[in-house]
Amino acid sequence: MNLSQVPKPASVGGRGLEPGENPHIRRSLLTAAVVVGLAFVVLLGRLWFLQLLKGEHFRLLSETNRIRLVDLPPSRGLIFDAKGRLLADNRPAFTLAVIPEDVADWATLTRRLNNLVGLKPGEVDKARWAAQGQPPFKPVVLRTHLDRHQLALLETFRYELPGVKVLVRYQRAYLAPKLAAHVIGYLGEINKRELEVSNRAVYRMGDWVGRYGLEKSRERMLHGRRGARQVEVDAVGREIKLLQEVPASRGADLTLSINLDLQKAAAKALEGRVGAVAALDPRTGQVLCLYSSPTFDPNDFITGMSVEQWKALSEDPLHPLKDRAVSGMYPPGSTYKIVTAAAGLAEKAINLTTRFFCAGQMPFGRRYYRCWAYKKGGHGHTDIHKAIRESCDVFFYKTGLKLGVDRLAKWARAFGLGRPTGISLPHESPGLVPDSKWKKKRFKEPWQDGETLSLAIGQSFTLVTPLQMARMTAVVANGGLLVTPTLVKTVTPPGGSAVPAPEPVTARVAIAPEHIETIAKGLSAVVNEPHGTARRARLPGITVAGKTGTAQVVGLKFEKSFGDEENVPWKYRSHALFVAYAPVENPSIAVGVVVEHGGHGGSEAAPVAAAVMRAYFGLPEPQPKQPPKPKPGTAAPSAPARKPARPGANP
Amino acid sequence: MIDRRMVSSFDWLLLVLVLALGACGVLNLYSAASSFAATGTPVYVKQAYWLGLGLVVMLAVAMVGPQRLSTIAYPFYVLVVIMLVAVLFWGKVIGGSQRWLALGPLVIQPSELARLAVVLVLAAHFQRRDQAEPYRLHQLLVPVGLALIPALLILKEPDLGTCLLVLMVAGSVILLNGIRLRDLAIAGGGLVLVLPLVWRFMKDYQKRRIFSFLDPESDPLGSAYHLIQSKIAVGSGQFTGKGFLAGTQSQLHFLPEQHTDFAFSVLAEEWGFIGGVVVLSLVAAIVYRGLATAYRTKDRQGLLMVVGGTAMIFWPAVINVGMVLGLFPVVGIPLPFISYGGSSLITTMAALGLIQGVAMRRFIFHRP
Repeated sequence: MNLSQVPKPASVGGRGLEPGENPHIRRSLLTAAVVVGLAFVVLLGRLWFLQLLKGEHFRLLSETNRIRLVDLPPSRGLIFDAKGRLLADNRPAFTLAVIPEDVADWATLTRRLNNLVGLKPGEVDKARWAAQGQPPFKPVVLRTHLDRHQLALLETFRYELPGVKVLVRYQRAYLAPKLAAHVIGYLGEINKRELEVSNRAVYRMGDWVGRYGLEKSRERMLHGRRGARQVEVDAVGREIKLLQEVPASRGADLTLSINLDLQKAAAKALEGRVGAVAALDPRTGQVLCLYSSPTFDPNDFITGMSVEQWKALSEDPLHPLKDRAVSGMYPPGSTYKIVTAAAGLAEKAINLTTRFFCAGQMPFGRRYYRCWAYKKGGHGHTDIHKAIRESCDVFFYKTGLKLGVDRLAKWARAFGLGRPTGISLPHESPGLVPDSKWKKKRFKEPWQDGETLSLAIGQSFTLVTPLQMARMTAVVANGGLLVTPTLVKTVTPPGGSAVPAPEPVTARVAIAPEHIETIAKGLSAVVNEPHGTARRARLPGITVAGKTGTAQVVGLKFEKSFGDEENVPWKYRSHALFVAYAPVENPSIAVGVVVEHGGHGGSEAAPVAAAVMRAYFGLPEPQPKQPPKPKPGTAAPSAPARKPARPGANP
Repeated sequence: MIDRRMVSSFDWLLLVLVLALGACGVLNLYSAASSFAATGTPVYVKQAYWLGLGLVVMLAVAMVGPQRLSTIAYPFYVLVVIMLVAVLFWGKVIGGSQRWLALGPLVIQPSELARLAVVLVLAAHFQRRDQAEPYRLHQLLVPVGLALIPALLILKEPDLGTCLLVLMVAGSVILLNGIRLRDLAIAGGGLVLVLPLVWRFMKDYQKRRIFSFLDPESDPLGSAYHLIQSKIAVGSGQFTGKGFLAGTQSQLHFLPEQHTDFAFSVLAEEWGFIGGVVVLSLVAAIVYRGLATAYRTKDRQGLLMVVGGTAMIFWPAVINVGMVLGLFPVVGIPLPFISYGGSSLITTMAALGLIQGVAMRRFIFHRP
C-alpha cells in the first residue's frame, strides 16, 4: 500500500488486473475515475474563482455585510357574519420580555417581577439560560399572555424596571366563540412538516395556521402575504437604519352567509342537548345557520390549554369538538320518505292516484312489517299525500318494494345523499347510501328484499348529515334544484371592495314539476293539516312545510324491554329528526335538525327548527314554557308528562 | 477467526484519511456552533461521539464482509422498504418531514438505510446475473426498479435530497457494470422524455426551489438570500481565511444552517482556499482509494459494493459543496464528515465498512 496509489487508479500496479477479465467494467471504472476527477476539478475551480479571483470583492462585501432581513408577518383576515358582525378578530396580546444588556441588577429585577406579575425567580433564570449565546440586545421572553392588570402594573412601574419590555403581537380572538365554533374553527402554530412544504415567503416558524373549520379551508385567503424589511445593522447586529421595506399585505376578510341571530336561536334551542342544525337558502345554497351542540371555545386553542383542559375537551364522551352539522352521520328515519316518494313518482312505481291499504302492518317474507300506526289499526286507504302527511310506513314499504334498492339509491344520490355536499369545511362526512353492490362488498352477502322495506322508510344502512338533510329538503323547496351549500358570501381583499364568492354548481334533479309539487303539498300537510305529524313547527303568519323522522338507535325489542318510554336510558333512545322549509309559497329557508336520542322528531326536533326559522323571519319568541328536556347522561330524566303514541316504526 | 492477512490487507491509509477528515469536521463544528445557545452537549462533542460510534459501525460492517452481507441483501432490502412504507403511516415528524420511525426506544431513519440496502441488493442482483458482455437495456429494468421503489417512497416523505442520493448511488452501481453506448443513449433519451412528467408530479415548493436557483432575484427573502450569504462567506475567506473562530459571516449568523448543510462555507471562510483544498483533497483521496480498491476486486459483487460505498461518499460531497458554492440548487444534503448529523455520519461509515470489508479479503482471491 503505497501513497502513489491514491490519486490515480491507473497506477495500481503489481498483481493481476482482475477487472481486466471484463473490459467493460474496467472501462467503466476508468470513466468513473475521470468523472470524479472532473468533478473535483470543477469544485476546486469554483473555489479558486470565489476565493482568489473574486476574493477581494467578497471580502469587501462581508466587511460591509450589515444588511439583514427583518420579517414582517401579515395580519390575518377578519371574519364577519351575514349582518356584518365581527366573528374573528385579531387582538393584541402582550408578552413580557427583557433585554439582557439593559438590565442593571438581575436580583432586583427578579424580585420586582415576582411582586408585580408573580414571575418565579426560577422562571427568569430558565429563560436566561435558554437564551444564552444569543446577542444581549435581543429580547428574552419571560411570560406570554399578560392580562390587563399585569399590563397596568408593568406600565406603572416602567421606570423602575430597566430592561423590561412589553412586546405586542396580534393573536386571533373569536368573538362569538360558543355560537360558531365549528364553522369558523381555530388556529394552531405551524409545525415543521408544514414549514418544509410551504413557501418561505408565506410561512415562517412561529406562524399560526388554520387547523379547523373555515380557518383551515380558507387559510390561503385569510393568511395574507408577509413582508420584509432590509435594515442596516452595526458590527454586533443592532439595527441602525432602514434601507428598504416590502410591507406585509394582510389577509382577505370574509363575510359569511351565516347569521349570528340564527346561531343564537339554534344554540338556545339545543342547549343541554346533543344535536345539530343546518339551515340554508334553498334558492342559492347559502348556509344561514350551522350549529352543533355541545360546543367548545375556540379561544382556548389560541391562548393555550392546560393538559387537564385538553383532556377534558378531547375525552368528553359527548365529543364537543365534533361538528355534528356536517360530520355527524345519522339514519334519516322518515325524513327519507321524501326520497322514496320522489323515486316512486319519477320511476313510475306509483302515481298521484296510487292507493295502498295500510292495515297497520304488512306481511313480507316470514315476518310482519309494522306501520307506526299499528296500535291505531293502521291508516286504511292511503294515497301519496296522506302517506307523507301521516308518515305511513306501509305505503312506503310497498313503494320501496316496487322500486328496489338500487333505484332508491340512485334517487338518494340525486338528492345529494351519500357524498359530501361540497361545503368548504375540511371535516365534512359523505354519509352513506347503500345499494346492492355496496352490501355485497361490505358484508359479502346479497341484498335482502326485507332490507328494502326498512330502507324505504330511512331505517336501513343509510346515513345522512344534518346539512345533507337541509339540502335534500331544499330540492323540494326550490322546485328540483340540488344546490351546493356555501358559507362565504363575499371576500374583501386588503384595500379592495367586497367581491362576491363565485357561484357554486347547481344541478337539476330529473323529476317532473308536478311530482315535486305533490311532495311539497304533502310536506305542508305534515305541519298544517289535522293529522300531520309536525304541528309543533307552525309559525305565526308563515306557512311551514316539513317532515319528521325518528331514527332508532337500538332494535325496537330492546328499546321496549325497558317498559315505559321514560325508562329507556338516554343512549338507547331514538334520534329525533326534522326537516322543514318556509314560507311554503316562496321558500327562503330550508332546515335540517337532529337531536341525538331526542325521542320523536315531531316533538323534539321540530321546535328546534321552528326556533331557527323564527329567528330568520324575525318573529318574537313564543311565550309558553319549554317542555323539560332530558339531560344527556342522566339515567332517569324528568319525563315529559305527555304520553306519546309509540310508533311501530317511526313517524 | 480473524486471519492475520485480513489485518495486513486492511486499508490503513483509508482509515487515516477518514480520521483526518473527521477531525476537520469536529474542529469546524466547534467554530460553526460556538455562538449558539449553550444548552446541553456542544455540537462538536456530539459529532465526536458519532464519529467514534461510526468507526465501530465501519469495523462491524467490514468484519461481516461482502459474502455474508450478500446473503442478507434481499431480506434487508425488503425490511427497509417495509420501514419506508411504515414511516409514511406511523413516522415521527422531526426536523422537517416524516422521516423517523420509532421502534421502542430506538429512533431510526429508514431513508438513510435505504442507500445501503440498494447498494447491497444491486450487488447481489448483478452477481447472480454475472455475464461477460455488457448488459442490455431490458436486463436493467429490474435493477432500476429496485432503486426506484425506495427512492419514490423517500420522495413521498418528502425528502428530495435523500431521494436524489439513492438514485445517484444506484445509478453509479448500475452504470458501472458497463452498458453499450447505444443503450446508454436510448436510456438517456428516454429520461429526457420523462422529465416533463416528473415536473408535473413535483410539489410546488420543489419547483419554487428550482426557480429560485435559476433566478435568485425571484425569492430575495428565501433560499437566494442564503446562497448569496454563503458565497460571500466562502469568497471572503480568500487564500488563507479569516482565521479560526474569526469568520464574520458565520459568527454573526448571516449563514443559514451553518452547522449542517452550510458547514463547508464556515470552513471556507475561516480557513480560506487552503482549508477548502485540504478538505476537498481528503474527500477526493477517499473516493480514489475506493475506486482503487474496486479496480483490484475480482468478483462483481464485491466490486459493486465498493463502488456503491464510494458513491455514497462521492455524491453527497459533490452536491453539498456544489450547493454551498452556488453551483447547484439548495437541497438539504449534508457533507460527509463536515456537516453535523449522526445518522448521515453512521451511513457514511457503513459505506466505508463496505469498502474495507472487500479490501480486507483481497488475498482470498489473489492467493488461493
